[in-house]
Amino acid sequence: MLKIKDLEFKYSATEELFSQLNLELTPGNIYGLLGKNGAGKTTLLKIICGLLFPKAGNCFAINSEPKQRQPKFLENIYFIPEEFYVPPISAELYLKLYVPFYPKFDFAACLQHLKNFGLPLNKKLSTLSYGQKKKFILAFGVATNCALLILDEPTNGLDIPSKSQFRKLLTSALTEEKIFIISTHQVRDMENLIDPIIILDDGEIILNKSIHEISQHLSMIQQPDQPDSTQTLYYEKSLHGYSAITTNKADLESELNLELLFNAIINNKNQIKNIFGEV
Amino acid sequence: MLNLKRLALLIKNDIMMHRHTVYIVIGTIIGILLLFNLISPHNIYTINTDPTAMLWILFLGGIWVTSLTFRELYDKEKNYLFLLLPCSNLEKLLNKLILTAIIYPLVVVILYTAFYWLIAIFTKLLYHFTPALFDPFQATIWLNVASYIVIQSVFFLGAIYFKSHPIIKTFLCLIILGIIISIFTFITGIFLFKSLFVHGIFFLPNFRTLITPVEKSLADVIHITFWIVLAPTCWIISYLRLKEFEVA
Repeated sequence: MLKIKDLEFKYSATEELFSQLNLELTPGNIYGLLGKNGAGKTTLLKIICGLLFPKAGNCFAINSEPKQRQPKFLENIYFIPEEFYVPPISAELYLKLYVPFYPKFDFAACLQHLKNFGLPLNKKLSTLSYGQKKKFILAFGVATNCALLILDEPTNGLDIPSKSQFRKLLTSALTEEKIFIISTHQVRDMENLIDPIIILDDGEIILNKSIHEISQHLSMIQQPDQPDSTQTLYYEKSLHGYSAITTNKADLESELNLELLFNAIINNKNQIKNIFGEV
Repeated sequence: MLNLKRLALLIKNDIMMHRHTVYIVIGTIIGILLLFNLISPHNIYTINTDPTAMLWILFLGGIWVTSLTFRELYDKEKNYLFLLLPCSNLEKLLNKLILTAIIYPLVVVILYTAFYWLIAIFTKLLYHFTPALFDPFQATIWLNVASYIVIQSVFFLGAIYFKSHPIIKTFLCLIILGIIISIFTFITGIFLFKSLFVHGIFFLPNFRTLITPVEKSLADVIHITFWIVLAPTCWIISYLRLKEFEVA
């Protein structure tokens, strides 16, 4: 459904961001795209959408080359960037003007989402708060029923109840034909939502695994004393002692801590690749 | 590649989204016409048939409106909405072209006609005199609309190419292009008429007979370039620019 092969991309002649990047995403999943600032997450999302073009290699999404920006492709993709725009019109008029472009749009579901978020239909969108604007765009994006929904930092600006509503909204909207990609730094907001996890670092995908696969290979432990650094991949001080990640030799089941996992992977790239058999 | 239903939706959408600009344009046209009549009220008998003011509004206003056409493409917050709207690049381009090259001149002609017909009605009511009605179908108007479409195509291309100050930059490009063409013509002329140069002196006896067919051919080339080649070339380049447009 989404296949990236040997992708190369650079913003300037000297500064290469992606080189030989490969990625394959399958429908029926909510992918979490994690990475440090400047890792290339937003650039990758823009390439997938067709807003940026690869310098070499291929990117295919929904049986189309995104850079062609064909209507059939655009009807099936919805991108919500971190910095988005809402025009100075009411939600009602926005729906009237934009819904006809999305043939699979579920109007009733959209109205329900807006109601759940407590958004007024008759108020000018530009007068709403940042969080309200975001909720409107999220409700609209989900209701388009696009095969590929791409969200860049979707929980930024959402209040606590809205974050929970957002998670419910996404899980209920996911079907076997859809792919949702969420790029975020707010990993705590995404726990129990994103699976598989993609970690991008320095323009390279260092992990693209399901939670199940990660749990099979890695174990998260909590202990009161400082762990032995030779026995752990990574540890950090927490409120009740130390949180650590080790290789899961004993086939233990542990609850995934995304923040810990991310730090462990970023700090032990090669070891992680070895563990997952990618080197 | 081209779906007329989608194109119509896109045009409607664009007008609704930019309706404040539409109000400003209409308000400005009416304002200019009112001003024009206030400063020359004695012209009331003749002005109703004279399209001069309309031509100024058509060309200057049209170029200004055209320069605003692709602003959203260079706006970091808005460009993704425009580029990812489920329409083909051709539909997106035609939408902008129809709005600025067809709908704008029609609005100007309709407003101008309506304004002077209203004045004619008031003149009739107040002074019991029927002035000549402005004729929107006079050939001069439509010939100028055709010229506008050609000239506008150059500024349309400028609007999609330049992020800021598209009018100034397009003018500068036209000046540079003019200089290049002049130099090219001069060098070509030297090669064509080098037989007239004898020992560095330019001999004129047969120059007129030689130059007349060249002048005629040149006039034909300019005529064909302006009326047939220029606008489609600008539209095609604009399309390619839109097709290859990437966000920053």
